[in-house]
Amino acid sequence: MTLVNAGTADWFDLEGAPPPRMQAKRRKDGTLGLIVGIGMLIALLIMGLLVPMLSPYPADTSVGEPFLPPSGTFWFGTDGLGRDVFTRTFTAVYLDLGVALLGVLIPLTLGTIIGIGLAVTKSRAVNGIISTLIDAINAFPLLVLAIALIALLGPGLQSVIFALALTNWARYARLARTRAVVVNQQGYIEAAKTLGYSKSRTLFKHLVPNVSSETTAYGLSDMILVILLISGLSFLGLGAQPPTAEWGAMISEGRSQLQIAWWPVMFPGALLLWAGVAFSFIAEGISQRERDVKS
Amino acid sequence: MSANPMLSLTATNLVEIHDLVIGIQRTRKDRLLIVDSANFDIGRAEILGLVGESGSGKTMVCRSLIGTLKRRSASVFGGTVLFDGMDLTKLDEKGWKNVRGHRIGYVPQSALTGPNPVMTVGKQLAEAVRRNRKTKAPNVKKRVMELLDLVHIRRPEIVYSQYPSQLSGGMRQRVMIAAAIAQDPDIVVADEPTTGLDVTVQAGIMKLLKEIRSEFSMSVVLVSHDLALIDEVCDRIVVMHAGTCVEVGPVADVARRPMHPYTIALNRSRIDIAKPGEPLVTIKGNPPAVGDWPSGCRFNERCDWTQQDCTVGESPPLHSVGPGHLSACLHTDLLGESRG
Repeated sequence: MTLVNAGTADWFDLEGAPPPRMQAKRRKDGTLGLIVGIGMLIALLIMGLLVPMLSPYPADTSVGEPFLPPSGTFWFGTDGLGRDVFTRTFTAVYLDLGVALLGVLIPLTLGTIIGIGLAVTKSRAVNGIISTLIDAINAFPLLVLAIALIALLGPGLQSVIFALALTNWARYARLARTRAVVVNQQGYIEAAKTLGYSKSRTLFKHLVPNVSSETTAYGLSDMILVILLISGLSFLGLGAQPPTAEWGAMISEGRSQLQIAWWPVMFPGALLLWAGVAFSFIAEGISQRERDVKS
Repeated sequence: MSANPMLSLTATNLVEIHDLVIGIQRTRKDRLLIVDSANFDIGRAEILGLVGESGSGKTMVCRSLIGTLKRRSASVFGGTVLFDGMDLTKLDEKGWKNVRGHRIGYVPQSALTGPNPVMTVGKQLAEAVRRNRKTKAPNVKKRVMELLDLVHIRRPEIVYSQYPSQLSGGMRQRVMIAAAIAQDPDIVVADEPTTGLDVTVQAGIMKLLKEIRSEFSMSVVLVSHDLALIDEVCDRIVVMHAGTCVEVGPVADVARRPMHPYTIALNRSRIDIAKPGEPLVTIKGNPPAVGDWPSGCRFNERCDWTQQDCTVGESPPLHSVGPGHLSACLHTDLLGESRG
């Protein structure tokens, strides 16, 4: 096999790769927010790791007078039971983020699989039944359904994760199904078929990555909602139970004495906000880059 | 580089399409015919142009060559597509596996969504190359580079690790052509490969297809609605109208001495030969709706030479009007004086 002499083909000069400068500029746009978001998240994770290890105070027991204002000894003050708010707030980082991660990952995986399955299945009955179920679940606000399920399961963080898995998958499934139907029409799926690739190869190497990139991006922005939902449920007394250090539960415990002491409520609230902002930066940065790739 | 050099000595035609009927089964009794019927051959190492307006069935004929009619819920109702002696209309999925990619390559219409956006160019081509059992694992990357070079992509070592979004439309289509020829097929079917591309880029893609033909003696089927674009590249042209072939012949005959009113009309409406200041010539009337064809010659409502017998009976079959030149017009003798 001889190669075509490059010298004979000067006409292709018109369509070279874009110059490196342009590529760098385009990348910068999405990356700045991504770096800020990941930086904020890492800072939070490091603090969540170091504070419980290095703090002289335990998280769950009284270490001083109740409602001591922030000072050199108690940086964030003490709460109504005399516990150190600083230690408690950062101890809650891994609990809150961990539960949120599970609360996103499980529905994300379930929903993506079910959604793609619906898009490729030939069975009208399966499609009809599951699609109706998805629409029915999506018709209710997530919080209402979650509360109803937790009422059945009994309060606790396991119930929160379970309730999220049972309800939130429908949102991912709807997204994945729509996306999979669109992707199925794209040239590369047809190309994969015409190149003689097997059905499973086309499905797993070409369809799934193009759908899961979309649901994962949605999952990242969903992290914010799920963190708020978990704190919200704990605030209502349905999630983390006292004396567990959890942001929502801490805010709930401190709210009755808000006039005397703002610190037991404000610091967990600030960290909740911090985590939310970090994830929204990451989600926005990723979807920005995603748009660049897809365009 | 034909897969079976012995056969090319004995048989002249790589593909022979006889009375091909393609349609959609809408209900148990209701069939919508899209192609009825197509008749033409594709020679070895020949570039065949397939020309026709939207709805003429040219894409459906292409799809029957690569077995993807089902994606559009269409199927073959009759006729044969003989590829190297094998009837493609009778193949099952298992049989297609050995044909698609290996023996028949396909360049899709949509250059912009052709390559998978979440895989690098190198990975995608490697996937196609690896299907060809002849290429051993250590040589895959070498072969991919060779392919990128073949389709004239500059700096292949950079493009290898780039994502499709970083490439221009022309480059993406070149990547798709590289994928289509990766397994050394006998024939490449290119369904309007230059849709949405710049005119200069179009010319480049055409030139590339021509090079591939002479380099590897692959046959190429080039589908287009643009007669001007393909008449410089093709050896022969098949003109399709309303689901049937109305004229088949060497490019010089079909483009310069057309023997069917539809081809004549197509030729007159070419933008590249329109005189400045004068209104553009169009074909009068609208193309008949798919499957709802008039009886007799399906062009009779738009033709300047319609006679009594043009409007009755079946669609007229192709007949010889010159060496290798076929026309489906019943009154080719009338066309002579007013052609020009």
